[in-house]
Amino acid sequence: MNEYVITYQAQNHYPEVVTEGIFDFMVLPCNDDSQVVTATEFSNSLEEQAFQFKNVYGFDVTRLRTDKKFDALDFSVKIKVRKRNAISNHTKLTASPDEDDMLSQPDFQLDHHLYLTKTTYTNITNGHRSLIPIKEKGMPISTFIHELMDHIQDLVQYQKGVTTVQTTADQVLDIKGGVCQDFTHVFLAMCRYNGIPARYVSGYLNNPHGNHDDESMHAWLEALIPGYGWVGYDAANRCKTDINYIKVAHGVDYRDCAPLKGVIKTNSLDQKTEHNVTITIQ
Amino acid sequence: MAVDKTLMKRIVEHVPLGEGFFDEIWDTNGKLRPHYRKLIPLFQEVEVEEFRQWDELAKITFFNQGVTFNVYSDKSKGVERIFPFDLLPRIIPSKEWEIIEKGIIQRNHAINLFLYDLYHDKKIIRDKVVPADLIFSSAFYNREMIGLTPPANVYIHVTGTDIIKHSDGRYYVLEDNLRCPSGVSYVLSNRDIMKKVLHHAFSKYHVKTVTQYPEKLLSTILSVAPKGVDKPNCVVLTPGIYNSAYFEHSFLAQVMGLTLVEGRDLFVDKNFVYMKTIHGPKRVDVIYRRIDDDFLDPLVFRPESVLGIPGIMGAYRAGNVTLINAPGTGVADDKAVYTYVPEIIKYYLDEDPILLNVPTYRCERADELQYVLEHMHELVVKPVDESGGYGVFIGNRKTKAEIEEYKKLILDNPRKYIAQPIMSLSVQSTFIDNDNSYDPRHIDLRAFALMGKDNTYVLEGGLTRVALTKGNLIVNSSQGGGSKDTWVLEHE
Repeated sequence: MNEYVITYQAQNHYPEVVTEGIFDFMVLPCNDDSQVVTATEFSNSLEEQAFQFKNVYGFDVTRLRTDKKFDALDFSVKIKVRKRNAISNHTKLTASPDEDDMLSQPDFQLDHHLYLTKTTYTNITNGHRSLIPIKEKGMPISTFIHELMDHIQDLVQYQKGVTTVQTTADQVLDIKGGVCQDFTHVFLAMCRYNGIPARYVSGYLNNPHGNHDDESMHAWLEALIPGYGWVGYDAANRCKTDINYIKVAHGVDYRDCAPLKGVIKTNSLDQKTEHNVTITIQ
Repeated sequence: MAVDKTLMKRIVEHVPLGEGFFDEIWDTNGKLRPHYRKLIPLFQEVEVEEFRQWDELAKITFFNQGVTFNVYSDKSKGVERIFPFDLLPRIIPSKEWEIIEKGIIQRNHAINLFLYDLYHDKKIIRDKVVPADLIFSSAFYNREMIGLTPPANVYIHVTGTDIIKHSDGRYYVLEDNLRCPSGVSYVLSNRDIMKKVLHHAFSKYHVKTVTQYPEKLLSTILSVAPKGVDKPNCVVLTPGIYNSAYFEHSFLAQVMGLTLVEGRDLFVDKNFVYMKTIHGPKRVDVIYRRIDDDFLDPLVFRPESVLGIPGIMGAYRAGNVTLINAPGTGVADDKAVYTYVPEIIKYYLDEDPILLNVPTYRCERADELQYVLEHMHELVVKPVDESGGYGVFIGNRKTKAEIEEYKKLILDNPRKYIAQPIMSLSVQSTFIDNDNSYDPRHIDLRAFALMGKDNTYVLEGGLTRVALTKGNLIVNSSQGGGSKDTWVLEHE
């Protein structure tokens, strides 16, 4: 078991005065089988009271609204999380013989339709269809997913600054480069194309090995392995997730999990946002 | 000198039409249908000059009342126009109306249950009545609605069902319009003007009234206010003055005594919606919104939307505000889903549909595919996944070679195609300015219905739309269409 102290900071600067603003942060780790949040502490430079509610998937959204005038907003949160390895990480994944059968059941597909349906971010169009590996019948899903991650490493280079938060899986395959959310969108598209339910996960990566992560938050996916449940995989680092992965939220793609969304009233379109995350083990 | 009126050309005459047309006024022998017998002579006695005076009075009244809509094109930027209005009303006998009314109530009831099911247990999909792909690939399937139950389980508070009368004399539903149907304000103002200009004709009939619509709409809105709110504050939300239906938005707000707001007049704080007023923020409980789902909340849907209210979906999900209609209703008025409405009615209500759907052949079914291939020349074949008329094949306008070519496409991927018989809209005489006389034109009917907590209501009238171009089957106002007052009779 690890106990982490995470600080998330966002600093927004605006060239013109903002007269009204509303911001949704999705930065609080969730509570699940492997992790529990023991303390949270918010602060913001406008001294507005943070409001929390749950989104459609049941994850916490922290909202800040103000009608004070400002040209900068600092928001920070300090969180303590206790984390242990998920159960699936202890047991060796051995495929059940009827995995393929489960995937093809209409009721199974219906129960997980959200994570089987392509979205704008996770659509791979005809031009790139040939890049999608097709799972052989009988091959265990977990084996196939590892092959997929190897395959994606051949298609996409980890590279900062070549994509944005709007870049779709199709575009990533054109650019042949991107960061964690881009790897995840390509990975999601390929899993779903093979009928494996897969969901986008945002969270924090405690990075003792110097793996790829972004300045702010990390992204990976969870695939549904019949008989086991949802298992985390990180395509950017070509590995299964472990005790170092602290989950915040999941959804169908980036848009459901964006750490910060905001709408402001101001006269200039420019703005600068810096995210800063630190993770320490206590 | 006295003029012998019998020698003059009358402005309304029977125009014999070929087979396959249903004339609303005259039967196939050229005899007036019973419900037009008191009306048509009034139009036949009048001279063109006098008729022109009626028409002028109607136009001036529309303008003075501000009943206009904006037209956008390269030539005219935001020109205010009046919706072309024809003085000869469309009359619907009470027996026919009964079918329409019952049919709409049945249809809407089933569709409302369908929407609840799609966002909850999805039984209809599990039972293989409606295919999963069709629903989840729809751009209108709204994930934010999953598991959410709107007040009184009502999703489609306001609907505008488009109905046509086919050459067989029966009514068919073309579209259900479950999102933000517009046009009801024209129903009310058309009636107002008819009463003013043609009072002598109006008084010859017992016509059902349309004037209680605003009151019924208001009570529908109030009936679905969030629980525990004593005196709900309700507003009408418009995209703004540049929207083509802005007149209707302001009209409805005014007649219901509600505040007309734009997105920027509202804000969300801690999952409650407030209206900015000079006395400070005032809580808003129900929003009759006339903006599309996509624009409602830039934090959830289109981030660039400036028409909506950031954060409103959170407030809606928390049950602190009611949206009319509920988001996500569009999934049930998609072209392909429409074809399943008869099955949807059967599934939830165990009843046969009262109003007909245009029969649809789904090429994925072997027997229907066979029928389609054998009757290509009399069918319209459409790909299920295209919109805007792309890939539509109209059989009677194609050569043999073209038909063979298209058959191959269908056989390649039968799942992708549906086919429907070519429908013929009924015709009714409409005044044509350049000819100084009436000539038959195609018409349809948009019927408006309301669904609240314990009430359903169908407006006894509706918007009869006319395709002003000869032979044109498209009756939209933006496509050069006009309208007529619609008289539903109290009794035959």
